[in-house]
Amino acid sequence: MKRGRKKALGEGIAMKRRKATEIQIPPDVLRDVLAKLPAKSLMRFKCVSKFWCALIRDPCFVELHRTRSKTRPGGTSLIISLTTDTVCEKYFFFANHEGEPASHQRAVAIPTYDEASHQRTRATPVFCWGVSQVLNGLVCVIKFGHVQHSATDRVSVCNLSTHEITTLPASSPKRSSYVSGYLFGCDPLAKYYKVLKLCTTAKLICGRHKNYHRENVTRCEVFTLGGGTTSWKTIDPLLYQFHYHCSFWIRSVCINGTIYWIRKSNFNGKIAIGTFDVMEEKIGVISLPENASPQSSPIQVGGRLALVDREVWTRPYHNIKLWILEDYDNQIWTQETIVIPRHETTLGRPLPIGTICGSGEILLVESKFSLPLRWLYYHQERREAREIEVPLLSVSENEVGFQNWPRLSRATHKNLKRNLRRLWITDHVENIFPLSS
Amino acid sequence: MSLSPSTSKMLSLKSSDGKVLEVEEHVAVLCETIKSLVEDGCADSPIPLANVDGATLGNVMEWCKKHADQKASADDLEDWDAEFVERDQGELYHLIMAANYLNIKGLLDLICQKVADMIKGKHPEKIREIFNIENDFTPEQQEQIRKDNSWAFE
Repeated sequence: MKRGRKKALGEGIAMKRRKATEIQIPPDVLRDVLAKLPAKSLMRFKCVSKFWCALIRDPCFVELHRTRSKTRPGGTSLIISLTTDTVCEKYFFFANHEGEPASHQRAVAIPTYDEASHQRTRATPVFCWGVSQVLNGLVCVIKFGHVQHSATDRVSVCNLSTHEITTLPASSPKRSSYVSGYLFGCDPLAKYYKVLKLCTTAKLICGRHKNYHRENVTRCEVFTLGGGTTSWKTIDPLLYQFHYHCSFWIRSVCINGTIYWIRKSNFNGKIAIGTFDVMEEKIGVISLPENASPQSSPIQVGGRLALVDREVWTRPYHNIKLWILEDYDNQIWTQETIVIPRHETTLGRPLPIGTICGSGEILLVESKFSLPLRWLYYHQERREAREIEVPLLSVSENEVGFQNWPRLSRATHKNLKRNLRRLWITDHVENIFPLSS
Repeated sequence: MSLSPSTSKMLSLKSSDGKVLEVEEHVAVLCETIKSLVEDGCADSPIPLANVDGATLGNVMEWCKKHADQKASADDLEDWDAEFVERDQGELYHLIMAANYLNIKGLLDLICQKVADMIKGKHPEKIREIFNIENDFTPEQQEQIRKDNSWAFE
């Protein structure tokens, strides 16, 4: 057997020499090979040839690669995001599901300063940061500008797998438009990513008796990534109205082409769920199930919309009730309970983040982060939980980082505790979606 | 039609270099291309396979035989596959082409994975060498792509 193999090997080399100039892998096969590679290798291979570069950027290949990443070893991971107060940078670390740093992925830092001038500038006052849900490895980062002038906001989208960042052009410069928030989503096949901007403009209205009064008018604008567009498009807000003093931090989730977020109705002050169909660009609203907490957060559980009560203090420690939207058209909700076995966790009050890619487990984090960092995976069918603990954070004066993790330079340990409040863990799947066309 | 090993009849496959290989039908039908010929009743005479040489066909059928064996456990197959793909580039190239031509999803997937593991993390110059690709970028274009993706070259 061994001898036979050796002989075959010799033949192979001879054949290779003879046919060296004929080696030409069919594009379909090449696509299959490349779809099994991590994003880092693919970013390198863009400079192999024009054909390879075009193939790697091809939307169909991007989709194939993302789908394969869900099952490829190393294709999925967790993202730990952290904002530092001192330098106002947003950091994204990658961890595998065992809590170790994902060796092949480097931490990504998104600076708040102007990338062009490479200087921290106070030209545009940044008073608030917003970060969208990490969606297929893409994250939308908003630096809010002047409170009354939403055109000063800077909206960037970063692909955490390829490190590509693009800053979107400023939307139409309407004076005194109050931003209510930005939402980020993609269509079911993830061919397009869209940023939805919701803002309110005060408009002077002439009354019946020539008396003028101000009225708030809702404006909705959409920016599409992946469609070759370069500007914001105004869409009809339909009946969607809201107070301008709405929260900057909109808790949202995008599931199967629809963005869901929690909103307050302008008519009766009731909490409802806003919906945005990414393909159709239609805004809608669905009501919360009865008895659902107004402090609910939308998450994705098993590919469906679920609501989880953020008011963790009012519930028993390890009983977590979820409202699941079973039927979108008829708005049928069902209730499911996650019961975390007490002996399997040291987490005080676990908060579900959503179902993770691949294993289908639900990720839960401590509702208030503390050190050492811990999280939990819950298997719904087996009703089992496993907890992960990340090694202690380093205690050096000038560096912040996890043991053996890429260090965050410049941020000081003093700020660590404060930063922990802004720490967040989400699911990640490698995606090579190109942000620039 | 029964495809169980006991009643399986033999098929003759003729390679590009004229070698004829006798293979049990239940083994050969792992190739979708051959399966459709069998189903259409066109598998009587030696089946000519113009794109596969004798040595490669032998290797392909070795793989098919192992994978047609219902007694083989998943772990056993995995180990066997790992050893099967320990080949040089030339052989892998012929196998990938044959698996594509004969439409054997399992084998194609296996070899694609092997090639992917082989080229992972390599430098673009090495990739061009392996796949015999001409660099059609200007130095400026090349530099720009490298600059835009500098983190990937660390």
